[in-house]
Amino acid sequence: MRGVIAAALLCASGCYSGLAGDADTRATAAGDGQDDAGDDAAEGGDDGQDGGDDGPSASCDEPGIGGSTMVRLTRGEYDNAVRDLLDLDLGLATSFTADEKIGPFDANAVAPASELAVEQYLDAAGELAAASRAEAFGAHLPNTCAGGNDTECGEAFVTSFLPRAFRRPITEAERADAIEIFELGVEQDGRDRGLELVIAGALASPAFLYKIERGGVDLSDAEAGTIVPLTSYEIASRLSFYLWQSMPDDVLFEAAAADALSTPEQLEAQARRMLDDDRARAAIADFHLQWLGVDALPELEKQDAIYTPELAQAMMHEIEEASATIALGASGKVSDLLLSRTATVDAALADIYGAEQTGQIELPADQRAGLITRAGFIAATSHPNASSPTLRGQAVREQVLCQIVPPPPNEVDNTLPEGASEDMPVKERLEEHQENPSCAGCHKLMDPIGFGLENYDELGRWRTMDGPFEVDPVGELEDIDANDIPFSGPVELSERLAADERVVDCYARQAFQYAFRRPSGGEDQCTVATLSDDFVESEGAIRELLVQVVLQDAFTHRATPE
Amino acid sequence: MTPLLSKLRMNRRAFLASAGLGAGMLSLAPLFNRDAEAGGLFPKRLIIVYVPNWTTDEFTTCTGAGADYQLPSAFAALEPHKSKLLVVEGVDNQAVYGNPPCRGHQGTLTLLNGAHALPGNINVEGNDLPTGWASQATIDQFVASAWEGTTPFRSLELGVGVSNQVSHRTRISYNAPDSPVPPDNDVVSVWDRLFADLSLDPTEAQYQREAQLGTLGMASKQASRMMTSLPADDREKLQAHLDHVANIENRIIASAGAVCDPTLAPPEGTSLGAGNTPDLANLQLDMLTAALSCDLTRVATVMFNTETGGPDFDWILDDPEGLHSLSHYFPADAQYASYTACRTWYIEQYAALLSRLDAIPEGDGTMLDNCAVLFTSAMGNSWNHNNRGIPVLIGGSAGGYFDPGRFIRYGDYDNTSSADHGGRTNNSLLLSLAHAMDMPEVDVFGEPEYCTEGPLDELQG
Repeated sequence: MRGVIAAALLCASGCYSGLAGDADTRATAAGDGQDDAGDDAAEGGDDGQDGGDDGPSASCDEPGIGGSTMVRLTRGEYDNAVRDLLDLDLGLATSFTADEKIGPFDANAVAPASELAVEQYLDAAGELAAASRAEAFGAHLPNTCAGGNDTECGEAFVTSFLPRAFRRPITEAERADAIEIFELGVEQDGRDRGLELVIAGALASPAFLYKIERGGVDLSDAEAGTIVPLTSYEIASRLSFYLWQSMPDDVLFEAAAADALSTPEQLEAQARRMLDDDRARAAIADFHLQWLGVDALPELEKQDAIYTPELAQAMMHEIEEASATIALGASGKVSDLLLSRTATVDAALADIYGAEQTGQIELPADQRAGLITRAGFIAATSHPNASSPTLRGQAVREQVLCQIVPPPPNEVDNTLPEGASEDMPVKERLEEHQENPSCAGCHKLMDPIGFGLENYDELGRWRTMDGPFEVDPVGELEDIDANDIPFSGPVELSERLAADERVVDCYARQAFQYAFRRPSGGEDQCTVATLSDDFVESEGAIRELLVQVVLQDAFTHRATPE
Repeated sequence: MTPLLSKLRMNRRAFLASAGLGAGMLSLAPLFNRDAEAGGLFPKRLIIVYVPNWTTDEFTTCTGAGADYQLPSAFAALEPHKSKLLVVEGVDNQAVYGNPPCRGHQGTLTLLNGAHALPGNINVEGNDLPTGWASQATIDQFVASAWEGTTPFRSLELGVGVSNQVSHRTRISYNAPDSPVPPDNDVVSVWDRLFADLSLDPTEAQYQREAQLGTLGMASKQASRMMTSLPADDREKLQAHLDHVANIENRIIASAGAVCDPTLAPPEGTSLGAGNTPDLANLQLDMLTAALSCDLTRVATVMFNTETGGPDFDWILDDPEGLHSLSHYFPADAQYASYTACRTWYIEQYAALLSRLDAIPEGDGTMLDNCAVLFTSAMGNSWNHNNRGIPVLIGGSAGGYFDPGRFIRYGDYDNTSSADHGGRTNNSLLLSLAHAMDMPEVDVFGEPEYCTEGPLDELQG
């Protein structure tokens, strides 16, 4: 029985101290020294909930840099990089095995590639190379190739193509390998087959598939926590994958070749240039989709037959349009994300909103305010056939406020269907959560927020009745001093969040996690605090935050993992 | 130009696309020479079938004891296999209760390796504690590593409707710490990986092999050179990548001259949607059987659906509510019959696999006799997230190692949810499986503290 009691205590104590901590600082504390964390957590088991190290410690005069390992391109990055490398937009990566996340963000940072993934890379490399050949290699065929000398053509192609694929100058040995596979192809089926195999070999190479950073030095014997400045090419890739989810463009490659990516002025100029590009719009939109978990919509099943793949896409598109327009606008703020009523809808989504028109519309002021009131977020945090105050409250708590809600303890009764039944409104049913002490500690963090979103059904349609019961949208959210303050309905919830500094701080943390593909605590906490403080100071001006990220030492340096 | 086999996937054919070569006739001779193996020398195989959101209750519990036992009605499909089946009750997924602490559904992190999860923040999903991945290789991968090189695929991971999210909820197999092995849901892709190369004509196959090996060669040379100057963590990651490349290269080389009788390829565009689950299950089990029969692999896992998820079973239920939701009712609730129907369906799939394997003669017996086919799940009780008393069924005798046709109960059935019910750990079960796969020297699997009682000797009779 001891295990049961320990588990119950963990939940309760975790939640009572939960508000003091923040999600990823805590996760990092656990992830940093795996042995220590394991030992400390023994017996009592509440060490993992320790919220004691939020905020920077005594001095941030010399910000640390969190350790990182080589990460593999996400599926989105793979497709974008292929598009920019070969002018091919086949979207092959959507069928790859899915990406591992850090927090809510696709990252591929921890687990190595699986054999299945490596085989998918090989197959995709072959398919893309053949597709490029079918288009006579588009604009990538060097002029030399018009001359009719196969060897000269192959060499010229390798010289121009391979450094772009590897996102850095190539070595003599790499050139020789590429020539070798070119010759194999020529022998098989002539010059074009040779070029095709060079492309396949490049796309299957780890230099394409991974973001490799070693600062141009030998790190094989480097001690844990060794910090090296990145090379200009590595910085070019950091910029492009952060702001575009893709490979560098020619401007970045030229700047890297000229070693013109080192001063803050140079980095800032590049970031501002890049934010004006359409690729930034797509990437920043995707950041918001992932942040709010809306990227999961295509995976979700709903019982209502109107929830089609097209509707799921329309819901995601709406969040993308709204978030990118605000975030990249000259003065877009986090509060705008939480208050905007401008929506881009097709006919199906217009029906969800009860709107008459399609295209860009203004949603009703008494029903909607900001991203957490949009159909995409609501549908992503609902059950297949019912709303869920708990899931919705949990998503707001964890993603918007950056606080972790521990799961229910083992061996407590989890049988609490959340949909309103014929004999009881949902709020009454969930009161059990508050009365049972082993549940109350945590559910108090979720349900009262979710009650405020009960005006939406499982697809985000507005409602005032839930079955036979009138919706009671009164919820509760603590203020910054931890006083519980009631609110009524989703619009008021959004207004409360829009005025909450914790939300601004959380957004900065999420942006850090997204940019760096690692948790925002540990050695990074001073960097994050700097970003967050400036961001709060600016009242949540998003475009400036996105630029400030590239000006941090952490952006131009790598530390080996602890 | 001869048209390419239209049912083959484009990307498999990509290395041929410009060659204008037609596909040859499929060869029908088995790769695996059964005659030469007569006399009991057939290889052993380990197969694990995983189903989510399980509860062991009155509807899924046997009565009687030993050889004189009765299957519950939910297990009726197993009646024909009763004499080749071990039913084991009272096994606990013990490492869940260690540190970092996990929760019910997170039992996937500990089930097949008996080891505590790693700390970290990969698994930050609703209702789960943040943890890293599993900390040790699972039994299937442990065995696959020991047998590496004997078959073209060291192991096969098949999925039926496993969600595309990457988390402990969708992974049961690990080949090292922090290294989940993903299941492949895509039946077209599975057929391609297993059989497409074996069904090319020799000229075409040679042309493709050269190109693929050239491509992989360029990739591995690039990686090897780069690796020497990378820090240790990066080197490890790259080495894992290179190991996979080497496996794929070996497979491509081995495919030269190999012949096999594949199942019919699933049509391109076969729906992977939940509504198609019964067909997908059939296809995956057919391909698994064919792969084993051709000796393409000797280790496999089949993961059904997603822990904390699962389809709505609208092909058997009139009022579909979703498996996970159903699993949270009490036996007294009206909806519980639906939940039992879902579990019955899973058992039927398991039974259908046993039937397939039992239909393939090997020596004096059948392929099933040379297999251990484990059916299991992370929890023993879904409504209260209890990881004790998990389901354990073992089909086949692993070449005579097990003594099947019996029901074995450890501990006190009426008290299974308590830590002191007197059950055994999954570590003991995993030890038994390692021994059954001819690795008697293994005396610890997972955390040593849960291995103190050794293997489940009773399974040997």
